[in-house]
Amino acid sequence: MTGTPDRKIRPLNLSARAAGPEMPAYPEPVLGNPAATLMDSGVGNCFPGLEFDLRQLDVRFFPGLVFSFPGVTPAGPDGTQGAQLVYADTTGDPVFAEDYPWVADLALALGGPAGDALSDGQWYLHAVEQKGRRIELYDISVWQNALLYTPYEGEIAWWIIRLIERDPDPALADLTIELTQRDAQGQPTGQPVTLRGKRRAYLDDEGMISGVYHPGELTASMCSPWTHDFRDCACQYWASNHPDVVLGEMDDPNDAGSLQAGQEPAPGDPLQPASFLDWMRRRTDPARDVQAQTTIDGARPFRYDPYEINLRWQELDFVLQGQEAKATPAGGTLPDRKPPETPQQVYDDLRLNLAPLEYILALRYLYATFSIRAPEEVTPQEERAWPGLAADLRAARQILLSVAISEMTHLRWVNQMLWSLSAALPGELPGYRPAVGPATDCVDPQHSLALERALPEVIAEFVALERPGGEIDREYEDLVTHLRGNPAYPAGLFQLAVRIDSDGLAHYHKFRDIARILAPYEAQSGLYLRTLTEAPPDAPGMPQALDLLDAAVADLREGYRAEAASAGSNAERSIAEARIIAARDRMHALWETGEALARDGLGIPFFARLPGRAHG
Amino acid sequence: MSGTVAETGRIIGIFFDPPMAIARVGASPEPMEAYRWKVDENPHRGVQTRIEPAPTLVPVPASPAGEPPFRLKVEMPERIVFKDGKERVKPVAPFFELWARVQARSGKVTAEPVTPALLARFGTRIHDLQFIVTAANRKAQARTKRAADAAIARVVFRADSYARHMLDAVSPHTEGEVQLVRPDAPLPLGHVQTFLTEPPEPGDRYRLDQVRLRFTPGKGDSFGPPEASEAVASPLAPGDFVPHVTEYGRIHRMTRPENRILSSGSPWLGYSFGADTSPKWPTPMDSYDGARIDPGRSWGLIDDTCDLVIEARIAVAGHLLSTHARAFAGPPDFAPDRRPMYSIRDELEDRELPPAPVDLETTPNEILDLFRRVFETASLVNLDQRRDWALSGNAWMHGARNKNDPNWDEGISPRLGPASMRRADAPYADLTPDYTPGQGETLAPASGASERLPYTTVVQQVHARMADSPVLRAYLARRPDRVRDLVRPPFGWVSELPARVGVTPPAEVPVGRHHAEGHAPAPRGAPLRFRDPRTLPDTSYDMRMPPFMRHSMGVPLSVTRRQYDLLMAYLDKLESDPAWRAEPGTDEGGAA
Repeated sequence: MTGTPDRKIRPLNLSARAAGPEMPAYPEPVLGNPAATLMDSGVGNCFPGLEFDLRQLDVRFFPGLVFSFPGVTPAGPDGTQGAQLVYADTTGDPVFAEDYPWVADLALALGGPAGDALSDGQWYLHAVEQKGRRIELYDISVWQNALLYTPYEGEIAWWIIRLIERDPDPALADLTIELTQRDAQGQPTGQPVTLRGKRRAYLDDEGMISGVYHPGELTASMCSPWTHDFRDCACQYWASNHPDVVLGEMDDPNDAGSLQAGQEPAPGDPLQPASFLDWMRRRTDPARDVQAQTTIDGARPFRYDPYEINLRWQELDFVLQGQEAKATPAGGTLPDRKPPETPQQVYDDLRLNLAPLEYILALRYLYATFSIRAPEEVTPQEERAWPGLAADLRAARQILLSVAISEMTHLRWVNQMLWSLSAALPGELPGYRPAVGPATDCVDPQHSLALERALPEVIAEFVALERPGGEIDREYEDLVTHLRGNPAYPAGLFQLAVRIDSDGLAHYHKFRDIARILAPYEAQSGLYLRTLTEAPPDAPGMPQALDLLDAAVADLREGYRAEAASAGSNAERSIAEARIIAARDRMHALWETGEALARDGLGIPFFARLPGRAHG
Repeated sequence: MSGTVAETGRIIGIFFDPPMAIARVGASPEPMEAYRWKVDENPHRGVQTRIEPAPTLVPVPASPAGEPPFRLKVEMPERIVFKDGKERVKPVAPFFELWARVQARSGKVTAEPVTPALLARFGTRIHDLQFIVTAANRKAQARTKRAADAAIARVVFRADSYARHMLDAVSPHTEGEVQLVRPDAPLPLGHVQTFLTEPPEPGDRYRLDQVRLRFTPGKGDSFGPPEASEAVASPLAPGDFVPHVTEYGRIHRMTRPENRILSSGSPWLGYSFGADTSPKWPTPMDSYDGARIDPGRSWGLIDDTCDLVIEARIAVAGHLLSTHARAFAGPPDFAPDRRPMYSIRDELEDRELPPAPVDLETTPNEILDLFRRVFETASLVNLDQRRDWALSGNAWMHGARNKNDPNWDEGISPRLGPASMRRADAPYADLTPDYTPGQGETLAPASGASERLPYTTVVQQVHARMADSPVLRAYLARRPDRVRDLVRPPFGWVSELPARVGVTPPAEVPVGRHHAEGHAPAPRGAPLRFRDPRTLPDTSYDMRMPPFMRHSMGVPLSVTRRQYDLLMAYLDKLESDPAWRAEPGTDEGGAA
């Protein structure tokens, strides 16, 4: 048994569910059913859909009538497209058992002259009117002093019908429709039939789609066979059930795997898990482990063919957390560690250790990005001799820069944790002060300030820094444990530490990927690296670059301060928005400046103005 | 022995839970174990949805012969294994619980499981409970408009008839009509089954005395006439058509020999959507095997999926009580821990329910859940492919001579061509150009063998963060106007659209309707408006969220109107009311 269901609440209106603050609850299937049986697991946008075609509901949008929505063939419109009346019949329609005046009037009309008219010849939905707005289902133009009516094709006609509202008062008839016949040119002709009523309620009181829809009707418009759609539809809109891209199978896709214990991935899967694979790829093709293509045409040769999929679809892999998997993991426990015990310890660690570290890493990674040649610097001769060099450089720069930006985002989150902690424990912790860059007069000697080119040993150092089970990873893991376990803290605060920690795992994979991408050029570093050296802070261009950095830092500090104060002030919220946008603009300018200087071999000495540090 | 109404109250109705369920095909005889969604609590993986095993109902024979009847026992699987030892997918076979609504003498109504004891209380028994299950596949009928091309199964049985009731479908017909599916070779749409109930024992965690019916769907096979054996497959991309050149493409079997059981005499074999110029429904019209190669003649294939209605009927105290449930047999959910952001539930709620209440207790969680689902879907999307596909389509719709010309859409905002999602696509594009500085204004990204789908990578990275409550709330509070610009508005209701296209614009999105009293918002530029499905600009693809994805009937996807209204209301609150910006659990928040 799964509790006592209340039909007034289920299956709809679960939107108010909550497992706790900051933690939406998941809908629960009844005993014995997987979550994949729930309506929450199926796709609701249909062309024609996966589980069933919700467009079929609109076929019977008006009680007593059945429509179809023909679209035009490649031959073009012939005037019969739009919303065609299939038939009018009140038999078996539960609406006509309802006791409202409009239902009686409609039954009278359909049983009388209107019904008689509609039974003779082909009729079309001409117009709908609701809340005083009447929309004709035609494109209307003026042609030789007359109005020319071109019927909308079925797709647009369907959308107009889909956009009719259902007023919650069942007694209120707020919808008027008009039907006409058409002449051979598609022009409305003859006496229209006007009916007043209400859009059908598609669900009954038990939460089931109305019994007016016959078995088989809701799936009738879907692909035949279903595998046709699974392979052949150009939509690709159902990635949640039918992924476009995945990562290849790993031993432990959900959790607690070897990576998290600090072990290397198994040999033989060098692309894992940095590269996307096309999920629909033919499993027997040699290209099955090649990364996914950027165009549908490019991907097509490697995918299952039409017809082939009918007998092969069970080769497709299930996917957990983005990775192909045969099963959920058997379980596993995380290493038992001792988290920091007091809020003050956490606060100090965030302020004195992690905030400076994130800032320093962002700039070290940015410097390394500047050191890699831009693809446009590759000469045609070099590209001929080293095919793929320009693409590899672009890839390496893009990945490295994304990690640098990510570290700047971490800096923000560390500050957000700081201001949240200060606000939660005002008597115990000092008031929030922004922590952007080293907070004390001297930099923690454990934080390397080396600005270096992306040489193999430097990338290897970055890999080591971000390694699962490494010091940074463990710091955040401890932080998560501490924050999650303390009810004095805001309920969702631990999620920030989780996010930073999980990003670290992504960074680790990305640095390993960079190492692999650049490995072919190791012996000739000039092919992929600029002759970049850290310039003195007073070298031409450097004061301006450092001024930009200082200004960005100042904007961030003020923006964070304002955001921390915005919990009580709309004015501070506006300041926070403006200053953080300004900081981003300055970082954009710094990127452009840094690139220009790097092309001339000049590296910005990002840390030259840190307190207590002489350039050396 | 039954009691009097005065003693026992009365049953005023029966119902199924769930009222609707999705079954999912698979060829394995072992059904999929039960699992539920749960938040992943491991710091290394981020806050995201995972699946975990749930108590599973396992049929076990009541006698050593191994034949029905079966009773159910509850097992907790250690893990969910999606395929069996022969690599066959396990089908998802939903249970339906039967409940009664019982009214006490006080007038209070409670829901009680339908059990032998409950039925005895009201003077009846399991044997008197009848099920009628009607399943149908009408896919061929929908194209040929011929009832004899439907496949319909109907079984009627008592609840204590514990055998498997096979849903073997045949085509209805009149004298002289060719049946697509003949009675001597029916289409197997699966089976339904009931189970022996178990009297409850003290301390039982689960009640197994309740009446349950289970629907097990078909295997997911294709069926056709003898002609549908093997054929040349189009080598082109989905949506493209191959001329009638028979040596073009690879040859594949399309059905198993034992499944070539349909009639060759039905017009479904050889049906072609382009055989005449008349408009066709359903759309897309080319949605059957055979459509891709000119002249688009159908191979006459159908499958063993269906949708069905289950009816339960029982007479109590002279009144007939009945109820219905529905099931749909669809494809497997191949990414079971990734939820659609636009689900069937969302679509039904959008059609049926009034706007969601704007409430500090519930709204933040609803929006957080929406953004988590956005991430879950986005994490499996190949955005690079989507972007190339959508922008190429824009060029065709707008008559651009050269779809690769970065300037063909000059003056249009958001951009529709190669500049979409690039720096020139201001103010919409922001983070993506930051993360992808090496990309130019091209349709397909520059991407060598080592590159990692640049747009796909960015969308995953950005939306992973938005799945975290402090990040999401802070971002929405800090940049409400950017979010308003960035999220594609849904189409307006009929009453919000102009009577004539282009004469007046659709209604404005009521930005600020939920602002705190006295709040003076910063001035916006052009008003934000709902979209109109009749106009080219509103049906062109651009980078607004969700970017480049397809909605019903092939137009750009938006979130539902109900989701959109709630998001806009939340932005108003976050922008203007400090109490909404405060973190739950703190003094200002109060939501905890």
